[in-house]
Amino acid sequence: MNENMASQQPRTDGYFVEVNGIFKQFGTFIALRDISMGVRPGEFVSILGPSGCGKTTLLRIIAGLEPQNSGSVWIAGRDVSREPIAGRGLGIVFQSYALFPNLSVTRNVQYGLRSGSAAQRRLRAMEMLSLVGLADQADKYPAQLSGGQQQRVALARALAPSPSLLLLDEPLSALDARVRIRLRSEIRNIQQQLGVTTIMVTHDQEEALTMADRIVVMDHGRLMQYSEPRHLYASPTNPFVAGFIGAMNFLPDCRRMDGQSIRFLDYHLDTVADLSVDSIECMLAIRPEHIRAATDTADANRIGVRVHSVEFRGSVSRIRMQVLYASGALSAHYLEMDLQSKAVEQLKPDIGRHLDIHLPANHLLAFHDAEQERREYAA
Amino acid sequence: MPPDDPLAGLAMLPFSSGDGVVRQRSSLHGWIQRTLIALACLWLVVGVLLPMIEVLNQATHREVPVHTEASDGGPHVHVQRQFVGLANFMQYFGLEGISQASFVLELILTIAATTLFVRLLLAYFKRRDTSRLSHRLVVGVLLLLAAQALRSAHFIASHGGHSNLIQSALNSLMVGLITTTIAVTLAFFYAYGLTRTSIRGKMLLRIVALLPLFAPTMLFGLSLVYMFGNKGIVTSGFFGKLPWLAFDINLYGFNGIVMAETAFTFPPAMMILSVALMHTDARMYEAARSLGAGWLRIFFTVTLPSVKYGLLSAVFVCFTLSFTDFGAPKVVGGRFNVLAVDIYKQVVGQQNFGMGATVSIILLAPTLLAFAADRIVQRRSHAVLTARSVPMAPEPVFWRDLLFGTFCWTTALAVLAVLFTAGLASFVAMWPYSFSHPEIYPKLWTLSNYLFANVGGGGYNAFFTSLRMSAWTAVGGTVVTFASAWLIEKTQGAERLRQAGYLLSITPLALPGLVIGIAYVFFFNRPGFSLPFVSFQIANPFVWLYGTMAILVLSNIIHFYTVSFLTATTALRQLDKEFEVVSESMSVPFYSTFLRVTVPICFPAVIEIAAYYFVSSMATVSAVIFLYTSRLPLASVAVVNMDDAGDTAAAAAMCMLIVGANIAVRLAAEGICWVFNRKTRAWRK
Repeated sequence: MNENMASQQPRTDGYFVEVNGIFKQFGTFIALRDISMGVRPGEFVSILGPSGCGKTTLLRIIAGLEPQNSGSVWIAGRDVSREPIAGRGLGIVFQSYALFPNLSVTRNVQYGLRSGSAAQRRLRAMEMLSLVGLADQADKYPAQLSGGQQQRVALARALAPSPSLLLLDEPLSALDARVRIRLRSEIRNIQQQLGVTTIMVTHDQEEALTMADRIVVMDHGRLMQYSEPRHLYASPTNPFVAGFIGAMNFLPDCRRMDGQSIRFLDYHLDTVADLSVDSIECMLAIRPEHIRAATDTADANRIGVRVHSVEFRGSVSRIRMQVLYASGALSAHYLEMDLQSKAVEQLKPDIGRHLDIHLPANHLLAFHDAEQERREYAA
Repeated sequence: MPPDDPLAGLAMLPFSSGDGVVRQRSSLHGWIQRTLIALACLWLVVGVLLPMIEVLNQATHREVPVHTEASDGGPHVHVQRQFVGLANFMQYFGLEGISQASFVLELILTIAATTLFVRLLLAYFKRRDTSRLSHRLVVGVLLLLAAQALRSAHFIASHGGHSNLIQSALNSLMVGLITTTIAVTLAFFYAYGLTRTSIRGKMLLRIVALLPLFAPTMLFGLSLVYMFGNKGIVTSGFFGKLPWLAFDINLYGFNGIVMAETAFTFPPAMMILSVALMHTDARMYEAARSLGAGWLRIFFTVTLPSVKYGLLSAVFVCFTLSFTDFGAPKVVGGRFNVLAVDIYKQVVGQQNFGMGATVSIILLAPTLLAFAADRIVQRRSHAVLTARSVPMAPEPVFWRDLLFGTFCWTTALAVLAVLFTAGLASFVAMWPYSFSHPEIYPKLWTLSNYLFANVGGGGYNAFFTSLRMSAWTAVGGTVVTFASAWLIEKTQGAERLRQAGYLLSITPLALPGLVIGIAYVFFFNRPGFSLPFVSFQIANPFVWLYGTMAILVLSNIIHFYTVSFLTATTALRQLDKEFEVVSESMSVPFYSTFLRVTVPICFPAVIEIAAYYFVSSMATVSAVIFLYTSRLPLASVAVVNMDDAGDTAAAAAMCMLIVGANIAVRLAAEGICWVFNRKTRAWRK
């Protein structure tokens, strides 16, 4: 379907897009520090991060819209660092769609097609429009379409010249929640159908998790972690990723004891996490859905808590709990636990009630202490 | 932080250029764009900067006769241009018996000492908790500064003789200040009535308020003469029919000029203020009312602050226009001299180009100050209105609507009177005797004034030349302005060049038409330039322009450039800023997107710019009065000349032709926009 795809010669290292040691500065503000990443042919990679983390800047550098201070960009085994956008052979879809309002939908899609006869171009445009399911809207103007339809026209327009790389800059964030969810799978399907290598910038973690093959998580101009969605969720390598993707409880001010044992307040907790850290200060983390009510008094990793509040969320309820010392006194730490509605009925977590909870060792993650990490950042 | 997926075997690259940015290779289109931007800057340099430098040059040089011994032993005199520094300015201010150096020194001392005095005093009052010693120190320094400022000022004043010219500078200042006060006040309440009350006939009121834009300023003078002049309707008590109503306002001089300038500056002030008043968030008023604020408190805490920038803009515009206007003072000024007329007299009457240039610079100084102040103020004016603002929808309030209705309609009638009394008079055979002595002059209505027989100025030839000039200005100006605005606003790269282009594009707003005209006379007349420090002469490559239609068109484009440029820029900024990027990513050349997308979407703005150029060029007299030739007579210049010769009725008739042509063009522009909007309704929201 996509003639350019066939001619893509993967390099020996198997990457179609390579970003090498990108450094970008705006005045004194450092937007990107030493970013390197590779995208395999046909892969869908999402760049995820909070606003101001440099994700859009990275996309603009890959597109050639912004010059980097140092580092290089390779596309299809060719160094395109000094190539203007026109020479990079990519299609780009913006948050604002940037559809030409005075041209009909077909003319918009045809805009980038310049080879072939008028009939051939129209045929190609119609082909792209039926791909995005808008063949019946071909003669309308963009203003007569809904937001989701406009987004799909923008996608069709970007894909019509058969680009070897598709860049999506927050493509769904201007849309309603419902339309956004539907378009996620549609865009993903089209991408897989064409096999076009795609990089998408988003601040919405759900979007990234559901659509991408791999996710780049960024913060403050740094690449924090780059891996598959499941891996990212299950084994974050640093507290930022752990806290940014999904919900996470942090137990700070922990001290490493001998072996796999960690002291938190006056509890000793076991963990299977890799504790090859030099310092003895560390931080534990666990997701709310992994915390369980302790059933057996013989359970290891038991902690006493007092129920602080209960938030009903439909199929689950999130219980906010204040951690108690083993001696029974209140501490300043809070934990959140997700309970299925059946478990809620059994447990009856009324506010103020004291409970014992269990933190499974195989779900307990360990990190450097956050304070220490911050000090490292500053250096 | 190493990524999970270590990127082994990535190609290493030698990167980084000299200044630490990886520069992109330039494409052919990039080069074309940069060349076009450079051209856009270059023509503004030739059209604005070089002529202005020439004015400075003229003001600081004098032609001095030099006596030499000729070869045959007899005396020989030839004229040599010499640098005279500020001599012309000192002559202008009537300073005698004082050297230039001490004049400049004392002037700097006065200004510096006064500024320091004020700043120190303010700083001192802001934090008074200083120790005893610094108390005395501050007071001592303040006394010293005050003494120095007074001494220097006294020194300059003691050498100042009487000068007629300094009187006209003060007169101009007075006219500017009083006109600004009156016009901005009227315009504010008029605009308030149009936007914040529910009075009737808003559409009509708006149109009437904008009508003066179509007329040359001489027309306001002529109308005032017909109403309040020696034999005016009011002065003579309706031609002696209602003698008890006779009332002489002492028109010729200050009163007349201020009245005419008020009519002249009312429309732009009204436009600026009504835009400012319209763009206000209704939710702020709801919030203020819900907190229990009365209308007076709301007015001072919500209304005025939200139109602050518009108000300042209106003040600057009114001041600049009335301070530099030439047409109205020429007609009703009498013996009340103003700077603009002085320049005309110095250059056209006395052929004293050096002094003309000097007065131009003095005329330019306050205008430049106002321009700079406006720029500084407007830079802070962002984010007054957000995208979520809710527009105001005024509800009827009987007394308020009655009050504003009366005010607006009275003002509108006054505007109509100032516009069309002269028009009415142009159809009268023998004003005022056809009315006062019908037994001697039985014929009342006539078209003979429109024949322009036995009057100077060029008659219909002048009118048609003006039409041609305005058409060329409209076409050429629109193409150049819109393309330049697009290049400066929508291209990437060449950052510095685009900034320079923007700066050059807004400079013409600070230049009065007279100054542009006189600068062009100097610059395009010079046979050549000698480069400084080397004795090398280059011929002036633009000298052929002098006395042609091209220079008239050029001066008009420059004169009205900034407003058009800003209109285009505003329209362009409303477009999605990614249009160019999307096209480029698909390798579509920039001119293709410009013609297929940008121009069609901005079409109404393009028409608006063209109409503005046409209308302004028809009505203007200030720049072209120095540049027209007998082969190319112009309608507005003809008005001045006919009025000078006493052919008032013919002058009024010519004004009416100008107004008529302008209204026709404006209607045509509206018609085109209407058809365009109808045809493109499908893709407009």
